[in-house]
Amino acid sequence: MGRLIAVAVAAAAAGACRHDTCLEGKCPAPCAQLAFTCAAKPMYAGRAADAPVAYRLLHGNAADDDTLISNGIVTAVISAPGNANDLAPTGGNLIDFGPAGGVDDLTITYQLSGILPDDAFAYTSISIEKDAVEQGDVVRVTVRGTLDGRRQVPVVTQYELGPCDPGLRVRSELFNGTADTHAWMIADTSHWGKRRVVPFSPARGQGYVLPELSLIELADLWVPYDYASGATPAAESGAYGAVACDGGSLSGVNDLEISALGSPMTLVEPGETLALERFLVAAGAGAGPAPAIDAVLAARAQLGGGATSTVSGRVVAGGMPFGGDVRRASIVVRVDGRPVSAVVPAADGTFAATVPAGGAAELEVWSFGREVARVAAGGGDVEVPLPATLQVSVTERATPIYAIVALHPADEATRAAVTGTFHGSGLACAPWLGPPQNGSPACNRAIVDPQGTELEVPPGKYRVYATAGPEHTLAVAEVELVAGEVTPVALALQKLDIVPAGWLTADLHVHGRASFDSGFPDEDRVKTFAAAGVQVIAATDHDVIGDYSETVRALGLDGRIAVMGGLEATQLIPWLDVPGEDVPRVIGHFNFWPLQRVPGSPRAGAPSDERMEPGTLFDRMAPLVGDGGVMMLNHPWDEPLFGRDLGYLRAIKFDPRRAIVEGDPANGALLRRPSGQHRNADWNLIEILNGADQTEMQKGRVLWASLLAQGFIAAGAGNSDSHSLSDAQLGWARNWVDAGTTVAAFDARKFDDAVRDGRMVAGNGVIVLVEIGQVGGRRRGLGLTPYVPVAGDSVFVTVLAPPWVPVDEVRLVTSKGTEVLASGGELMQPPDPFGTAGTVRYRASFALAGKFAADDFFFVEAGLRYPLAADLDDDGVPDTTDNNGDGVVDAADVEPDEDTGPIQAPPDPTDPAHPRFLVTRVVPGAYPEGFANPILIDVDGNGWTPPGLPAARKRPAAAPRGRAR
Amino acid sequence: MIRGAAFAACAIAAAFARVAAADDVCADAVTDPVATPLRDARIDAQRGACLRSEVAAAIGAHALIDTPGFHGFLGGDVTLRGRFRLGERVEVGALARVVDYAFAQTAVNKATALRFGPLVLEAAVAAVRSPRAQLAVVAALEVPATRDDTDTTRTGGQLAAVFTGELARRWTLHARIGATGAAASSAGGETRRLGLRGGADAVWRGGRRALLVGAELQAGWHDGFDTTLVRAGYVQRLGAAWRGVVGLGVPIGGNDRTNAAVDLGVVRTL
Repeated sequence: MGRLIAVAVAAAAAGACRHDTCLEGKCPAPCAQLAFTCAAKPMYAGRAADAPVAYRLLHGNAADDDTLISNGIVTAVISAPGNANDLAPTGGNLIDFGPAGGVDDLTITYQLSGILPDDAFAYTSISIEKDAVEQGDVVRVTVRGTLDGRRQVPVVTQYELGPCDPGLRVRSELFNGTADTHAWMIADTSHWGKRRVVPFSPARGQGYVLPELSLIELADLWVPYDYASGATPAAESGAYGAVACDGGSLSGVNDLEISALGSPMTLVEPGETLALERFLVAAGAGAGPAPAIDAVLAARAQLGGGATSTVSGRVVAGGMPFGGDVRRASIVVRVDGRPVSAVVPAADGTFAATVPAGGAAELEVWSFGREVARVAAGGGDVEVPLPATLQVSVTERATPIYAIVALHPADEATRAAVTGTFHGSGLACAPWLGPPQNGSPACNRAIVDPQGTELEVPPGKYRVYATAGPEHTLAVAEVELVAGEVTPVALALQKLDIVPAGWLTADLHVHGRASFDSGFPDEDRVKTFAAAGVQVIAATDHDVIGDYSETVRALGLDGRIAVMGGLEATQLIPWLDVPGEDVPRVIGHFNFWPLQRVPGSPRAGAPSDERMEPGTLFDRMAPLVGDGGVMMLNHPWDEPLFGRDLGYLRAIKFDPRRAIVEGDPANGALLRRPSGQHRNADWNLIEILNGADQTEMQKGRVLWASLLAQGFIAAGAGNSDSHSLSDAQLGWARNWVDAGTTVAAFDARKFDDAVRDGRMVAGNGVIVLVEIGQVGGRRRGLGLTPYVPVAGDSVFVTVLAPPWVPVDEVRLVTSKGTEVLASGGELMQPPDPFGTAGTVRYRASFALAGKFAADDFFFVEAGLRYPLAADLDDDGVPDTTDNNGDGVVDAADVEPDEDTGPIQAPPDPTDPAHPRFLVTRVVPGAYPEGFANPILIDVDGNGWTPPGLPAARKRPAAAPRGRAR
Repeated sequence: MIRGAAFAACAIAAAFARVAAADDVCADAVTDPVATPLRDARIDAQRGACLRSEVAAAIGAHALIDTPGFHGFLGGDVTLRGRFRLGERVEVGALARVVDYAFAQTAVNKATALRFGPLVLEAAVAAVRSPRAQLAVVAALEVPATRDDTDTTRTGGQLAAVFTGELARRWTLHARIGATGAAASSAGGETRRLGLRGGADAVWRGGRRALLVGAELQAGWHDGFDTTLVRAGYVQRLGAAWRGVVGLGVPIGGNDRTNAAVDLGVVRTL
């Protein structure tokens, strides 16, 4: 009781003198203890469009009306409250951050109090203290709002930048004005997107090796860090760091997808205020996280967080300085075994990194994905193995061309010696030539320029495969690379005659650096267009309009490649109530093109796509793409990622066995016109093939057939959805479009008309050509205009593939099901997989008479026989393959802790005699399939009537399970 | 709410009408109502109109599990309470929360807190007194700044009229009507809550034990109708001066999402 009284007295005293608070209008200076000195440059705070060029950031997301602040050392952009980006419900967030004049690698850093949509800070106003700018003093930007949709929880964040500050001082506050007690935190959430900034955690057992992030287990994973950092492993990119202003720790999680760092999860009772002060740093270029860690540790020392020391040294190979690239050398510095910093040596091999003082420092040196040395930090030279150099060129008819080369160890000794990762995490590659998600070389592959390309490669025996896409032969050479020696290899490809004259190859789903989940440089991205032999591209970055036009021109490829500006609308904020689902969903992804980029506008002109049904999105996009534009439903049954649905039909629990009728709890959603114009089902293209394997097609074809049978007619496409050189190969899959236009005189309207009309085929290495008509008489090709057959009509099917791509089955799909037209030995096999002969695998016709008694549709598929799969959850879509190889698909095939799945292609074969061996050398995971778009058969010429679902497949509408929200 | 108040008023009137020479309705504390408070620091703890001198220790627990709303709030506390009669018409007392454990979950966020405080002062004045019925005005006030959390200043309390009367042999009626309020202030702002409540309990006494059933209507705390709190209790005499108390309150309907409040205590009459 005595203590109680003592506390009461103290509390009464404390209560008598109220603290300054941002929420109450008088914000205390964040991180007031920090002081920095420098030769100050002029400060800037104002419209991003008016900022000095030298202060702006490359690759930033800033719109003209966003607020840019800079002191000439660092630059930050805070979005206008109305300019929502990425995961945040509103603007008012940090969307660009970097060394002044340098590179921005930030998609967004926004504040949240939890993972629910209404836990996000939603800002409604912004204020800038401009007077301070004229005085060369501290500038402050304050954003105010509430938790999203919770008026009783006001929030505020103040960004402060002093003349010599190497980073932002930030204070956020949240007040619980509700009647409930909550478990909240204040955390800065940075969306890295898995393929860009790699977080580095100074925690034992971590560093670059990050614990797997599970949202369900977030509370257990929410741990304190002394500081945090991260960097994109690219030569031009800076590093980011964060430290708590009380000298203590920041709590949270670090993951390749997202980092969230702030206060501990705190029990916040009604009337309580939560506050967080931190110092955010951006520094350096191409040196790894160390420059930012140097700054945060210096700040932490001022804040009472402990003294620092510096470790330094030089990396040499073959007695010569060796550095300047994360591939050559990248060093993790450990103190008493704990990873505390990571640095990429400069071109002269030298490096220095600030570390906490007092312990034994050790250097863990990685080169080409392998840990090659672990030595005590002593300031001397660290020797790493000298690589070999491969000079590679690829020609077609003696003309140098763009191509992709993939290196594979030729023997097990080499494989064992050269398999590597980025500091023990991520994709393992043999050889590891560079970070898989960044520029070329990446993983075990590289872009070859027409003038040839030099690659540094760990010594060993390799097979070097060259490809320029399925319209070319495959070439291979075996080389033995010796350390320190240069080995030239020239590979020759030949064009294959497998594409009908006048047809254009197109990849209509492509990502680059503008996407939040890509770190792939624009120049390399455009080179892959050429290297893959693709002629038409729809640039479809997430939530931002892009077109690569500048890069295409700069590389002189504008006569060879036509790029249409476009967008992948990517809803990220869960909101959609789906019957039977406990948690809100999003509508998945939709592509739109052609679109005109609008520089200076938020998202380069892309409208906001959050919290709306597809019909509303179509209403919003239709005027932008115009009458001839394309609105594509992407990967309709793709699995959710990070709690966000990727495919609309999966998100709404569409059941392909049930009719699409009003009142059906799931399928009925397709008929809804949420904003009065477009229905939710009014896309005009559906992506059936996504990527190089068959999984999306194996699921998507079931959905497509159901939609077609019920009269929801849309053409199908196949695209790569490539984000880099190693996640998905550009042009795998691709479309071949009977466009009636050329690249040189590209007419997007004509091209898109052909796409929407289904005058195209799609495949990942397999081309299926279909005509209908008379033997020796008039025939018609693909197109969605119904065909009225006459006596004697036949369907003519030709299947083509490069000799290095296997095909063993041709199938006919109608509303009644799938019929195998030919398989195995009935197909022709090429004599030499590296040759040019034998591209025609199947050529036959079948009489139309007897096939269709009533109106119907048909499409033809060809490729490998689908892997054995089953629908274990009985939702009408296959979900699980025979993953344990026992010949039965059952619960034993399902991943631990999952109800179903995965559905996937078999592993890439290692046996050179395997049919998929060669294609998977250059396209990892490839499982070749192809299809021609449907032809609608109007049997009696009285107009095409949808055939409806087959009676055996029809299912009554099921009552929703679980509780409706 | 109106029906409940009317019911209580009728019962009170009936009890006063039946006043006759008989045992004092306040003679046996085993018929005092159990407490099933929903609000923080037990500021809304139910009591009867009889004035007592006694000390008590109680363990309270509450649960809010709102799965569709992704919200949970569980907790338990230990409180010590003393109340003392000052003459025939006045009682004063105090309640101290010795320890309070709380667990909150918002979606996947989880947080716990172990705290102590506050101190709550109580007073009651018997307004009308007869052997078979008693009417009192009671008040409770959380003393500000008596929690260990010095960043947030809180206060709260209740003002209510409470009635205790004999309904029949072995049956006692407790009724109450009043208001409960709370305020909290921290650096970022302040919040105030005010709720109205009215309810009644019927207690059956059988020898050394008593059983309670009752209901209470609450409104205003959560911006609208809060809940109908259905209550049950059991009191067991443990010797001449001691009694054990168990109470369970289950809110039904309304905006208050608390699932249940449980109270377990011992009381010693002084």
